[in-house]
Amino acid sequence: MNFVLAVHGAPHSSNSGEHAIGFAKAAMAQGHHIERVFFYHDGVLHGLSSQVAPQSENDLCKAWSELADHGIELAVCIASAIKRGVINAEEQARYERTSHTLAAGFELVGLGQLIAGIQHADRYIEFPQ
Amino acid sequence: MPIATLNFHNKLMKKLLFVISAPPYSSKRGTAQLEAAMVAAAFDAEVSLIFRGDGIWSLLPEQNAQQVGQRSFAKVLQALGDYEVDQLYVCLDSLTSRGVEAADLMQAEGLDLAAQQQLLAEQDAVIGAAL
Amino acid sequence: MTLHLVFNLQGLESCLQRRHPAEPIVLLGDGTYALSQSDIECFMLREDAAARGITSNGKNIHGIDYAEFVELSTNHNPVVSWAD
Repeated sequence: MNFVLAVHGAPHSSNSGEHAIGFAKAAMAQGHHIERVFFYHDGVLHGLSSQVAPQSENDLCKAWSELADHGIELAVCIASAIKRGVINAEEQARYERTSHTLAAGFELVGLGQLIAGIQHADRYIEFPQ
Repeated sequence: MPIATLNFHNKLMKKLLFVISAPPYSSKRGTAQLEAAMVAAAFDAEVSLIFRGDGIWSLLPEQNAQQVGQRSFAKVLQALGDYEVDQLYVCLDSLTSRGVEAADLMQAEGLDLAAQQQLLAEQDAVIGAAL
Repeated sequence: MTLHLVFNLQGLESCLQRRHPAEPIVLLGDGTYALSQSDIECFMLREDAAARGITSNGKNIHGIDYAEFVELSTNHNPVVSWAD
């Protein structure tokens, strides 16, 4: 089966990321396919390159990175992202900002990628704030 | 079982329901939901929207959002019509508990709780924006 | 048939009002706190309940892991999330 997962909550103020990661790993272990993980609303903050995980806790950045290494698309909603300062080099240049902040393995995409993903997949699972 | 319709290009049109459960100007999620609904309609999905809980406040007429430097929710809602999104619903239970009459609100079809259960069951995907 | 994912108590209240009794519920995150005040038949993500010190010996409560969560989602559609 083919899944689209949506992450709506930010890394350190919700369990949205942990739930999505747990689900994705279990789904892949069962031979299912993750069409993409779509980060929306405050969930885009998972793609912030400048965050530093507290030592005593799960390193979500590392977990996302491992999923990306397995070929899972980490798609960050561009509209939600740029509002919150999560920008790639292209947006940095466009808006003349001092740095780009999108972590490796993540890409900025339009809302169309969420919809296309839902149309193509068998299941849409949303992890709210 | 959800019913899918074949459009001209023989592509399955999925039924997508967007839920708006937050009020318009503090959380700003409602506007994001409307934008997502428009994108879905542009992608040929069969789109409906339901306003429930504090999301019903989005349907108050005569909102003057410029006063707080934001886009008026009503204007964005109007744009939905351009995308032929006309299945707008509002939760009657949420209206009653807030002392609001459907007649006081912008156009949406009132649904009771049983009808909402049925609406959910018919969907291929339900997209929310819970706080 | 719809599968309901409930992430907190407000979400549970909204869900119960709009759910057919045959449709299963999975309690996750703060949704697991519902177990201390209700014995509604449902699934719960064991690790979230354990983290919160929530134990439930109710016959109606079925603890699951992520693998079983995935299985439930393959057998139901749509999957609806409730957090308010």
